[in-house]
Amino acid sequence: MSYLDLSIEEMHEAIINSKVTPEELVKESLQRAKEYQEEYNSFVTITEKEALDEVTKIDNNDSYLYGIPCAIKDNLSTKGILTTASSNILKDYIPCFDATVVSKLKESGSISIGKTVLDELAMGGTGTTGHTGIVRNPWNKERLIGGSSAGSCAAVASGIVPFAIGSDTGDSIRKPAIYGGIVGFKPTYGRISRFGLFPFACSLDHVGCFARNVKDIAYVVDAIKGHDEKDMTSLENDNVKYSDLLNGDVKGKKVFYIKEIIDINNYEGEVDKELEEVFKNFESVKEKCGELGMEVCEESIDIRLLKAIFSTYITISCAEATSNNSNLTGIQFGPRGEGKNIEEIMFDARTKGFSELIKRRFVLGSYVLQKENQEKLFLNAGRIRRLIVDKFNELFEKYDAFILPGSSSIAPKFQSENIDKLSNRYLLLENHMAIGNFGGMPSITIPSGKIDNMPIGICITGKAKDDLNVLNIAYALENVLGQKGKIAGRRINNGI
Amino acid sequence: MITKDKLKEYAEKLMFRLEEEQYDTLLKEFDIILEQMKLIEDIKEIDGIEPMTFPFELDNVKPREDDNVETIDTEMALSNAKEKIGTEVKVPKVVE
Amino acid sequence: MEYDITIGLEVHCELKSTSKVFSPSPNAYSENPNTNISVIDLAFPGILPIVNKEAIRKALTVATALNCETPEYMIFDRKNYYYPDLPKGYQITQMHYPVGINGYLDVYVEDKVKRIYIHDTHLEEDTASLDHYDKYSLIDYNRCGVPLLETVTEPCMHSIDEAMAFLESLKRLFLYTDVSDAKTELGQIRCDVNVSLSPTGSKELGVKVEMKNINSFYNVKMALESEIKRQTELLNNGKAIEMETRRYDEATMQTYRMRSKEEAIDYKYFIEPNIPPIKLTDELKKEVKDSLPELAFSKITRYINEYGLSLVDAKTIAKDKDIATYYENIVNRGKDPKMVSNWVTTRVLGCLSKDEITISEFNFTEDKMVELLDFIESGKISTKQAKDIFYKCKEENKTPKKVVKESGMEQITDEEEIRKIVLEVLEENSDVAKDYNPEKGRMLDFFIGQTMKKSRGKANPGVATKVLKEELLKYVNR
Repeated sequence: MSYLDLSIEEMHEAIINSKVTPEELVKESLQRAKEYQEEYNSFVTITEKEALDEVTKIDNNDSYLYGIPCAIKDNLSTKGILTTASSNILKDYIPCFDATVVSKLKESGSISIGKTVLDELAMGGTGTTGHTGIVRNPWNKERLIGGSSAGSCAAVASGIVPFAIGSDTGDSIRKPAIYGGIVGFKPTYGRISRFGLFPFACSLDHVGCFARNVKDIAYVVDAIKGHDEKDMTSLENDNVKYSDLLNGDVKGKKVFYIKEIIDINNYEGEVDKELEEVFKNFESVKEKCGELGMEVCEESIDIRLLKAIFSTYITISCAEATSNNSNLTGIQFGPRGEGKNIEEIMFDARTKGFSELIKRRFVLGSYVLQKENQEKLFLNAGRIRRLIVDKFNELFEKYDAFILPGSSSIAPKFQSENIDKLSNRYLLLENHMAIGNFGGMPSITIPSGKIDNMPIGICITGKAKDDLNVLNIAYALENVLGQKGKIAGRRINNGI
Repeated sequence: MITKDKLKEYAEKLMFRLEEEQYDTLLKEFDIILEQMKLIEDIKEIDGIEPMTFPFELDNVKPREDDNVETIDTEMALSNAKEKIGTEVKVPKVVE
Repeated sequence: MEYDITIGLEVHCELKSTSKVFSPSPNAYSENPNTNISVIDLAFPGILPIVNKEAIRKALTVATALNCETPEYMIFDRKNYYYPDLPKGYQITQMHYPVGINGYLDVYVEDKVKRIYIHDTHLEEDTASLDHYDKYSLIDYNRCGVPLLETVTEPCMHSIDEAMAFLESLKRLFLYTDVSDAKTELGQIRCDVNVSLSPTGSKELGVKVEMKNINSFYNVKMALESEIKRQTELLNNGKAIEMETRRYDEATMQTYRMRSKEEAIDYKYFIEPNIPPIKLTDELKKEVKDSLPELAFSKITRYINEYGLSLVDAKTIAKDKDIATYYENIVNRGKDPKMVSNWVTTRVLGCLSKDEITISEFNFTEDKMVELLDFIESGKISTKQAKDIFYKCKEENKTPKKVVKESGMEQITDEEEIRKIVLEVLEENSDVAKDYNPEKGRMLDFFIGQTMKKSRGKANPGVATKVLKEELLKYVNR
């Protein structure tokens, strides 16, 4: 057994009882990172030198994260360390400042061992579009891990680090967490500062984290949350420690699920064995909720609204992304383009720097913002966003949270046929997690079972600013679902 | 009606180009996207609804006090710029 | 053919503040490129704007001074376009909910009052500056993020004079409210000018031509003259005006096409998601309103109506808030408004302009002016003497009291003291005195001259004359 396979809580105990030193943990973590890199490609940069240097300097052993290795998504600014957002347009960019979340991790004494691969500029959900190659699922190399926070998820799922930082705009933490069989959490919008997060879509972007159990998530969030004067959208401090307050007591909590999303009749012609298994698993989750003393209710929501979630998401996110990435011109940073005049060098830098997929999304984003389309597309998407959020906020007056399956299948194979983008399975079941981004709601995914030894999971989403409640429901549920703390390919540390 | 030429024009305005065959892919993708957009148009009860920009309302948003200043070191700030003269970023001559 | 001219203006003004509008780097001019910068100004990935409270306050101040409706919340938009002086690839500005809309500013055009309607005024950020050389350009990000207030008028001005009067008045408003140093020579005020011509009497506006980024009021005037001439010639030759954007070239004093309407940029405005709405509370609005100074237009009107000044003098005094304050403080200490006006518009302004200083640097303070005017009013010195004292005070940085005392200039007004001198004069000139004839004025003049000489010029001529007349009569009757 290695101390690195334990939970953060156990690792912390081991450190303060001198059973293991931060240096040993960091060295082993680095060792694994290098060993697994060729197979899974979790990292853009493994920061061995910096990590070994940093570990000799830390002294904050009051913190639970003291000496705990971690990994950081490569779209978070790290001073003096290459930060690429997995895009050629930033392939040589070395920031001169730390993201707030990075500073807070340093203060906590956690040691980052590297920067993880993402879908280029965080705009993708497969983990296959980063400029340094695809990320593989540690549970099965033939399958993808999902994205965009692909490397962070793979690094935690494969046991390189006990936790990693990611970002989530539609489901970029939670979807890979489902495929990787670990816990993924994005707290309320503004709970964690976005300063230093390379933006995809500012009004939907959240910083969050991966870990292998809910309590560990709470330790991490405790260390990185808080008001930040550098982010006007950041929340006031809530002055509580989630890790202190998790108690698993969920008796009397009311949760709902959405009838239209888990009604198998809505998927005529799209049902396969995996989908049946997903629904079966969800039924068992509902039962477990009942056993824990929660009340689980069915709520119906206008299916037209639910089917419009994806279009609303893609419209808003691509529009904001087109604008957010207008600074990438190769002038003040990034590879300089070639050309005779200023237009040509900007053109060249952007033409070479962005992949085709990114360019397609930018064209779409620009299209929906154009004068002649803005009212019908961009602004109407904003109106639908409000309708959806209002509907859920209305339901939160009665309920503590809603639960849904996190995906319609296990992690797809790399070469699998593309899912029909107009099917209900895609529109309803694969994209509902964006609701949490629309309304800035705290949302967590936890593993709930396996199909063919590949993980599946559920998503729990609560009212904005009600992070603790969401964490506590997840904490109670993971203890009864039997999937907690697993490392891909091994049966280590099953239960703490 | 979206045409390949339109898409080229859109791309040019965003300061990049795609390969010919990539425009074909994009054109096909637009077919699907416009279908998906119809799902937005299907919802008619949006009259009088203010488009949502922020996930929720924040009360007590405070602007920054104008009482002190911070700067970054010039050399560090320009360390990522590929072409420089002195302490300025060099670009081909900009004609207005 | 005769044409009606219609002009609209967009005036950009750099606001004063310690730090920039969305970043904490200094809002200050520097000779050294790229020294007043932050990561935010350079638009590194991951930066977020943080709005400066003082910039909001100053923007609200101008909106209030321009009689605008102000919104409940401060909300910003992005204006998206690519240009090397705009590192983010978008400018944060206000399109949907400007800090002020539907306002007006009353101005004097010659002696007529004209109301100029304000479409809106909004807060935004300045761009980097480009230094052009033969073969390349260099980017200095120091100016990036300097708070800019853009004020947009309705197309409601119908002559170059009206446009110029508005610009001068707006500049004065910026100075009065202390939101900007408003120095056009430092690029702190820049204008976009719209102009259209339509046949006289026609109800429809002509085709609008916009001229961008004109850097001085003089050039606005020249650009308008040139453009109106160009359009008039086109129309007279039966040609159509094209809707387009042009630029004014200082060297040739002509305007040149930048882009046509077809090439117009779609800025794809949308609300800035990184800045949540900032409440403009009623308390703040009231506080801003209550702290607005009386503006130039109101002062001019009041000087004319209450103080009886001429329009020219009233304008001259109200041109500078500090001079107006100087003037009013003296008047408020009981001095005659017209007399003070004469002193201020001639002597005081003359000195300021000659020495190239401001009123606050001027050593002839309000107190000194009051002292000087007291001397004149009490008859202790003559107006001519007062002028000498004024300059002596200024040169030697002394109070009028001191100068009067030192030079012994103070008049003798005491009757008995003068009587003593008069009696001495009569004794010394008894031959002449005994022949005194009140009908012959020249004899009296002789005695006044003698009295002044004996008193070394200090005897008050009025008093001396009165006493002389009395004593001469007594002398003759003796």
